[in-house]
Amino acid sequence: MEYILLSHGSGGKNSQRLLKFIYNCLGDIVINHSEDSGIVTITQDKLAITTDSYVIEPIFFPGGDIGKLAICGTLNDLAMVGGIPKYLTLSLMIEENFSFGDLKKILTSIKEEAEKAEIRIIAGDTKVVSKSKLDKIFINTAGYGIIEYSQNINSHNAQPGDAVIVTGDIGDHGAAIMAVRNDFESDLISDCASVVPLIKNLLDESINIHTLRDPTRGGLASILNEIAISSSVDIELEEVKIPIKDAVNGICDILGIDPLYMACEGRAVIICPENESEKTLKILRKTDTGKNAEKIGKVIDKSENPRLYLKTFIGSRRILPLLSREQTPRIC
Amino acid sequence: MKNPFKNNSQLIQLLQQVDKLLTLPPFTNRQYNFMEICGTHTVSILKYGFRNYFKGRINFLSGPGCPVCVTSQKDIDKVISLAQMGVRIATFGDLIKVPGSKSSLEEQMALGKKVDVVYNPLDCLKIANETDEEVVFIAVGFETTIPVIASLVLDAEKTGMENLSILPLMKTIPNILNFLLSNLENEIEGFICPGHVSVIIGKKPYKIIPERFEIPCVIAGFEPVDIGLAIESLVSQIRIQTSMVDNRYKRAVKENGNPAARRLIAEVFEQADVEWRGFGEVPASGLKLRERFSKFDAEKKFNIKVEKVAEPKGCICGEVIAGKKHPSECKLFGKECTPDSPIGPCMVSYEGACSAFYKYGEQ
Amino acid sequence: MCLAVPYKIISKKGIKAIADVFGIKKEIDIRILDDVNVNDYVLVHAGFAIQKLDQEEAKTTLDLLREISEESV
Repeated sequence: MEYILLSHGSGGKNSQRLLKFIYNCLGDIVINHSEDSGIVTITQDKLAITTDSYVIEPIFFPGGDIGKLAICGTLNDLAMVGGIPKYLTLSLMIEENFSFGDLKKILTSIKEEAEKAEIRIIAGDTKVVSKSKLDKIFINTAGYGIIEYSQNINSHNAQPGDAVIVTGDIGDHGAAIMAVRNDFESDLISDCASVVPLIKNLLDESINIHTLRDPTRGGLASILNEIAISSSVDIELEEVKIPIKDAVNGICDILGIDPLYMACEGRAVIICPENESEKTLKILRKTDTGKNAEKIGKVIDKSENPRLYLKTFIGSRRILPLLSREQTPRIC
Repeated sequence: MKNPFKNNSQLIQLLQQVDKLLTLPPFTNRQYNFMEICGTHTVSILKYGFRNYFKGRINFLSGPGCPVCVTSQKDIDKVISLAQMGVRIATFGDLIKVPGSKSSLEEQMALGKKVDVVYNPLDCLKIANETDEEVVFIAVGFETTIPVIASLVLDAEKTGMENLSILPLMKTIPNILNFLLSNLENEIEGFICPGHVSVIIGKKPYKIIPERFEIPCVIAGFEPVDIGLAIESLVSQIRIQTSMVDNRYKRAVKENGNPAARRLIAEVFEQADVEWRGFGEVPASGLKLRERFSKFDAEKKFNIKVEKVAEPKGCICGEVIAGKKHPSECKLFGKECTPDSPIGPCMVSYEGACSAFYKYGEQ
Repeated sequence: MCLAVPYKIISKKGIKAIADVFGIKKEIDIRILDDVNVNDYVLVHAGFAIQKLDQEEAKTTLDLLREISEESV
């Protein structure tokens, strides 16, 4: 059998076959798979719980696929509150006629990322829907992580004087996706990755992280605007310090979009006291995913009208506004 | 590789020099008005922070250099009426959201009319080849784009294409500057001439501005260093009370421009009086197809008739393009009119002044 | 919309060429350039190369920047 049929979601024999296929691909990262609910024992006081749905076109892109994106995205959301991921749930919504070959690739990515992060899948679901009711495959996850650390990490906690640090180059994911969508043959690769190891290192070393966010949809400028608003502070970034690959800048120029608003899928923005910024950078740069970490700005003052500013190449200052829609590439 | 035209510490020194110049005679303690004509210059000036850097000393006015913004409401209505006739429209993406007096291409698409977005006008040949439908390319653009449109017409003629035509809405730069200075009240004291229009037309067509109006001109590129050098040129010209066309984009703009491109333009098009948003009809400020190519003229082919219409109520795009007002002086700006739901064309186009002001934080 | 990013010609055939911009490969039309060769940098507009970039002039402009910025006013 090459393609998924509606009957694979019918509850009958074909459904059993599809489930068996999925379990085979995922192997022992799935636990409790014969029951209607997964049962786990948790003794800690504080749990982090997150859920997200993943829809992306194209589902395979340079540097990853929708499976890797779903796992890393969920892990990163947990890490952003200092949660160390333990369990995930996984729901697949699949369009009739989707190929088993592609499904296998996606499941293999899921397995790889889950193994790397040492997490287990405790519950799951599969639905098959008729053609054109959805586009290829959607994935929904929920993630459960344990909060073992005492740092009070949240969006309201950015303090005047704090340093703003980013763990790597900005906009790689957005640029790689844009390149594929526009039929550009390019070397761009998505930064899609788990930032859990980076964050765990910082927490282990007792870095006093005030605020932590992953700049996914809306990119760096959007999440820093959100932090500014939540913490009632002004934030200033320095254009020369923001790490952006030439190729990413290039494709942004061509398409008329701004890399500061482009999605990253393997980066985190860390706001911590200035006197811990050097140590933070040192810890981050030890790991491959954090080797281009950079201090890109600072929290300036408390503000009733919170703004994100950019100090440009010429030393001038302008506002980086919160834009109301996702950027669409210019054509002419 | 670091781009020396983008991130260059000497640029900061250069700007400090300009700062100093502005405190010395003949400069007095007031704002000087420079107009950048090209929309891409507007974007660079805002994006790299030049506007804020010189706040209170140099006032940058956006000129009539965004092809979508200068297209009149009546011409937009022609495009819509073509779509309503069931003609397949091929266009640059920016035009899709521009509201006509009753509808937009975006709305026509939602109603099921066929609209193809093209990046390269030559893509229209392929589209027309693969269909029996009538295909019309909406030919907006300045001298930079016109050679490409000329190539489309020539290729269509060569391949005997019967179902492809263009709606000629092309405009040319030098005469509109002349018109701006002769007919409209303004206080422009320096022009930053469009870099890539100049790549095609060269330096000579601007000479009338310093000669007749004694206003300094500078041809500039789009990187921060280019903008810095352009501002320095205008300030220096004012300082020594001279006016000329200074070319500070020599790596791209030759004295004589690109003659091969101009030959193509001249083969296909001839000068015409055309309508500009905000200005009305301006003599010899645009192009029409030569007689030999009249069968590629969609306006004739489909006998388009539209009523003369007013510009959207409250919208000051016309005054923005003329350099009379800033986007932020518009009552609709950032309120009823945003890039999500634009009322005037300057909020639609990526390089429209209103859209750039909105996006680069001058909200 | 004017695009300042230079494209590098990597191959050409008749009026078409393949150009590279930061690792991205694009086919462009070179019919309005009289003399364009592999390894030349060109400016591209709407799929057409509109001019060759003159490396010497680029250097001269950067020299001009240095001169002016070091001048005493």
